[in-house]
Amino acid sequence: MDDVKAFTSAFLLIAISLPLVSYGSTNGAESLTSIGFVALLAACTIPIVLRYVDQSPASS
Amino acid sequence: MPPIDPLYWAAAAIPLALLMITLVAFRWKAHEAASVGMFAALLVAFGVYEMDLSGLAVASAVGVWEAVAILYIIIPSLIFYHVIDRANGFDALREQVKSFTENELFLVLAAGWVFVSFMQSITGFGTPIVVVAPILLALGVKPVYAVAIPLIGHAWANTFGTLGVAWVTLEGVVDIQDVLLTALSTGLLLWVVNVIAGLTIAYIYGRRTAVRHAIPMVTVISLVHGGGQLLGIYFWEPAFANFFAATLAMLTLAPLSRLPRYAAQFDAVDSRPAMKESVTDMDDKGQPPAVADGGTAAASVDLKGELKADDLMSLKLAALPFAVLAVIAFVTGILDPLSEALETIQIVVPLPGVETGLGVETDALSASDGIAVLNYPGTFLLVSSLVAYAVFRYTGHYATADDVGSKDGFTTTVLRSALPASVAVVGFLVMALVMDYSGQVTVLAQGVATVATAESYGVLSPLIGALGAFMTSSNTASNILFGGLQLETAQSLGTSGSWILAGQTAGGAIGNAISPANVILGTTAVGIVGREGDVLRKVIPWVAGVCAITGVLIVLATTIGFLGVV
Repeated sequence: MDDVKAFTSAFLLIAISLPLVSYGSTNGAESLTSIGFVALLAACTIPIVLRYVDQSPASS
Repeated sequence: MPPIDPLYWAAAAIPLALLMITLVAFRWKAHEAASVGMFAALLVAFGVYEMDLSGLAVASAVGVWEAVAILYIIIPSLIFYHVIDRANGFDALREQVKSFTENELFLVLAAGWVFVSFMQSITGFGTPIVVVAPILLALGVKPVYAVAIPLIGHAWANTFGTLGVAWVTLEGVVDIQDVLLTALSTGLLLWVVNVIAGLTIAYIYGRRTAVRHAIPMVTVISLVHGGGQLLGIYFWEPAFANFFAATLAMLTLAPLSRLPRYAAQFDAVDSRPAMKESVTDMDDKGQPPAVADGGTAAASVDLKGELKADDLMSLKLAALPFAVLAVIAFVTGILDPLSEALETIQIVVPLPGVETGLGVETDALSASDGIAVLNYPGTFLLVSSLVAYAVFRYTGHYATADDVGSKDGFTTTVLRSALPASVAVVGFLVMALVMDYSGQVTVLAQGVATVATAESYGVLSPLIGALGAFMTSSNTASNILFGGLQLETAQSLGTSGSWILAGQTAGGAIGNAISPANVILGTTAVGIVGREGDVLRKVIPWVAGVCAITGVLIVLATTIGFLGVV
C-alpha cells in the first residue's frame, strides 16, 4: 500500500472531521457530528491497518 | 465525579499503559501507538466512565483542535528546517562552529544544553527541539540521540522559560500563600535538574571519561543557569529569570571555549556512543549508514554527498534564520503593546461543553482556547523561513530539487514527514482530551494523592506534574490541570504547599522531555519519523530518575524545614 496516499487520506479525514463535529454539535445536527466522529475514527484506523498490511506476507 | 477506587484507576491507566507498551516495548511507530492509545481511551470513556457518543465526538474534536495548534508548529518547523538544509546551512554551521573549537563534547553541550535552553527561554511549544536537533545532527550526533539530548537539555527551562508562562499560569490558577518562597523552591529543584541534564548529556557523549572532562564546564554553566535563574527570581521577575540566566550562559560559552581544556580536541574518550564516526559517512549507494542504536538521518544528509568547505556559507549567514527567529520571539514576548495587537486575531473552533454520566463537566471552548495566529511560534518560524529563503536565494546558496538530484520537490519532501507526524499528534491529543473530558486524568492523579502520606507525597508530586506534561505536552497545561489538586492535597495532608507546588511545576518541566508531541517534533526534524520509541527508551529512564531525585529532595526539604517551611 502507498503510505503517502494512505496518510494523505487520513489527514483529509481528520481535516473534515473537525468542522463536521463543530457544526453538528453546536447546531444540534447529530448526524453531522456522527459523520465527523466516524471520519476521525477511520483516519486513526489507517496507521494500524497499514502496519498489518505492510507486515502481511502478501504485501512483500 | 467518578469514584476514586482501584477499578476506575486501573481502567484509566489502560490507555497510558497500552501507549507505553506499544511505543517503548514493542517499538511501534508513534502514529500506530497513538491510534491504539486513542481507541483504548475512547473505549474506557464509553464503557467505564459513562461518556455518551456525542460527548466522545466533542472531546475528540477538541483533541483535533489542540493538535492543530501543535501542527501549526510542526509543519512550519519542517519548512524552516528544509529551507536551511537545502542551502546546506547545517553543514555550514557545523564547519564554522568547529573553527571556534574542535572539542566535540563542548559543542554537543553548547548546542544540546546551553543553546536549547536559550531557545526555550524565549520560545516554547517544542520549537527548541526542532531547532537544535538538526544542529546536533550536523555536528555528527546520531539521529536518535540528536533528539534525546535537547529533550533532556531543555527540560529544566520549561517553568520559567518562554518568558515564564508556566509559572505565571500556576500563580493564576492557585492561591499561592508565599509566591517568592514557592518560586525559589522551584528554582532550586530546577537547578538540580539542570546539573543532572548537563552531566547526563556528557555521559551520553562519552560515558564517564566525558563526564570527568565536562565537569568544569557543567559546573560553570549550571552556576550561571541555576544560580542566575534564582537571582533573577529573587531580584528581578520570575517571568524573566530564565531568559536572564540562559542569555548569560550563552555569553559564558565564548570564554569557556578559549580554555585550553575545551579549545583542543578531546581525544581521551574511548567510545563515543552518541556520535557517528563521520558525518559524511556514506555507504556505496550514497546513503547514510544505518547504525544500530541511532538510526539513519534521512532528512539531513541524503543526496548531498561531499561538500567543499569553500561552497559553504559564512557562520553569520548560517545563523541568520535562528537569529531572526530569536529576535521575533523575544520582541513579541517582551513588547506588550505589540503582542496585544498581534493577539487581536484569534481563531477558535466552536465546540460545546460536555457532561458525562458520572457528572464530570467540561466547559465549551472559549476565546482563550483559540490560536493567536500572528503571535505564535508557527508564524515566527514561517517568517524566519521566508527571510532565510530570500537571503539564501539572493546569495546563491539555495539549491533547487534538481540541484540536489532529488526527484521530490520541496512540498513533497515536507509532506512526506509531516503527514505521519500529523496523524500521530492527532491520536495523542484525542487520547489526552478524551481522558481529560471523561475524568480519567483526574482519577489517575487523585488516586495517587489518596494513597499518599504527608511524608511520601513529596515524592509523588513531581510524578503527577510529569504525568500532566506527558498528557498535554505542556508544563503550563500540567499546572492548570493539577496545580489545584496538588495544593489541596498538600493542605489536607498538612505538608508544605510551597514545596509541593514546586514539585508540581518542576515535574511538569521534567515531563516535557517525554511528551509525545515534543518527541515527534524532534524525530520529524531529523528525518526519523517512526523511531519515537527509540528516543523514549533513552529519555524515560532519565525522566524517572530525575523525578525520583526531585521527589526525595522535596521530602528532605519539608522534613528538615529548608527555607523555613516544614
